[in-house]
This record gives sequence, structure tokens and C-alpha cells, in this order.
Amino acid sequence: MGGTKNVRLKVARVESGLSQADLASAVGVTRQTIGLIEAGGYNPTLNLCITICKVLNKTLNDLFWEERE
Amino acid sequence: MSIKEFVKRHQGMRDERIVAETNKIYKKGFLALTFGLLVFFTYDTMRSQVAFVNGLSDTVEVSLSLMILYAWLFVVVLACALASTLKGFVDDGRFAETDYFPAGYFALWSFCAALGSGFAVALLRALAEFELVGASGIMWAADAVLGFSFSILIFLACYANFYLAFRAAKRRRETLALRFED
Repeated sequence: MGGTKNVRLKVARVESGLSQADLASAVGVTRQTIGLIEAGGYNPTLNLCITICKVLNKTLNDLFWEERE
Repeated sequence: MSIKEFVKRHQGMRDERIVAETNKIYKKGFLALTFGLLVFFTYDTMRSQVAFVNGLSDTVEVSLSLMILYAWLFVVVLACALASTLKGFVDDGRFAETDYFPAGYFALWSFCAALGSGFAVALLRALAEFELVGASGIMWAADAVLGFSFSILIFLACYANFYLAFRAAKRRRETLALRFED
């Protein structure tokens, strides 16, 4: 798993009161996929990112944009 | 409702990660299967020739079922090459969609293919000789010459194929670009 952990996604999901399985079911993927996205082990397509954002009522910037250090 | 739509509806949504992972697995499987079949066909051809040369067989025979398998492999590999050319690329590396033909890059690939296949042909020929006439019947020099000649042929065939496929893919890219232009 070479990617960066997506803590913002995890926080947004928990704030929405959803488990990984709930979010997975809502966006049409498996729980493992959500787990891997949060752990930085899978780079989702733009379509999936948008679907996740819509379900969590967030923008792409909120969940997936990384500011340069 | 078409059969395709019916199956799709019953399958439900497909996880893009699983689809991607499955594709990767099947890609490796396809390459391994193709490699294995090529080794098998080469060995089978060498074995038939060695048997004929050493008077163990009157003819170099290839059964109909093997010919069908040969043809099927050829058609499948050609279809894959054509499909990628129609999409506008012949390679998935950094030269996939360049405007100029990357001569050195494709020369290197052709050389690797030629080297590998030349060695394989020589070794499989020697193995076939060992199987049919024993260690004393292995003609190392002749096998090496055969492998070398084959590698030159493969190099030229690969390079010409890369060049023609690159040109076709480039033309295809231009057509696609026109289609998607504003």
C-alpha cells in the first residue's frame, strides 16, 4: 500500500454516522474497497470519488484534494 | 430487455477495484498462457523436425487439433494487437502516444524478444534431440545457428510490426482527436 491514508474520508464517514459497510453499500462497492481507500491502498476513480462525496455531502476538495506542503 | 441487460441487472453494481484487480490477474494469466502455448508449439515443431531428420518419422506431421490451436492463438493475439491499435496505442509505457516513432525503445524491445526467442528455439531444439536421440545426438552448433537465425528473423519481424502498428495507432489517434474536437 503505497498511498497516503485518507483520514478526512474516515472522519467524514464517521461524522455521517456510517460504517464502512454502510458507505460501501451506498456507493456500490465492497467494504474492503472503502477500507482500502481510507488506508491509502487503493486509488479510486473520479466517478467513485464523486459518488462518495455526494453520499457524505462533501466536495472533492474536502475529501480528496491534498495541499502541497 | 436484451440478454446483456438482463445479466447486468442481476449482477448488480460491480466494484471498480475488484474489476481492476481481476483485470490485472487475467492479464498475467493471459501472458502466462500465451507464453506456455508458444513454448509448447515451438517444442512440438522442433520434435517433429528432429524425428524427421533422424529417420524416426517419415513426415513432419501436425494434427488438425493442433493446427486449430495454432490458428486460435494467432487470432487471439492478433485481435488484442488490433484492439489496442484501434484505441490509438501500441504500448503502455511513456512512448504510448508520442508523435514520433521511438526507434531506440522499440529496437530494445525487439532485441529482447529476439534474444529470448533465439535462446528458446536453440534450447528446445537441443531438448527435443536429447529426448529422441540422446545426449550424443545433440547438435549444439547447428542448434545455435538455428537460434541465431531465428532471433534475426524475430528482431526484424518485431521491429517492422512495431513500426507499422505505431503508424496505424497514430493515424487512429488523429481520427479520434478529430471526433472529440469541439
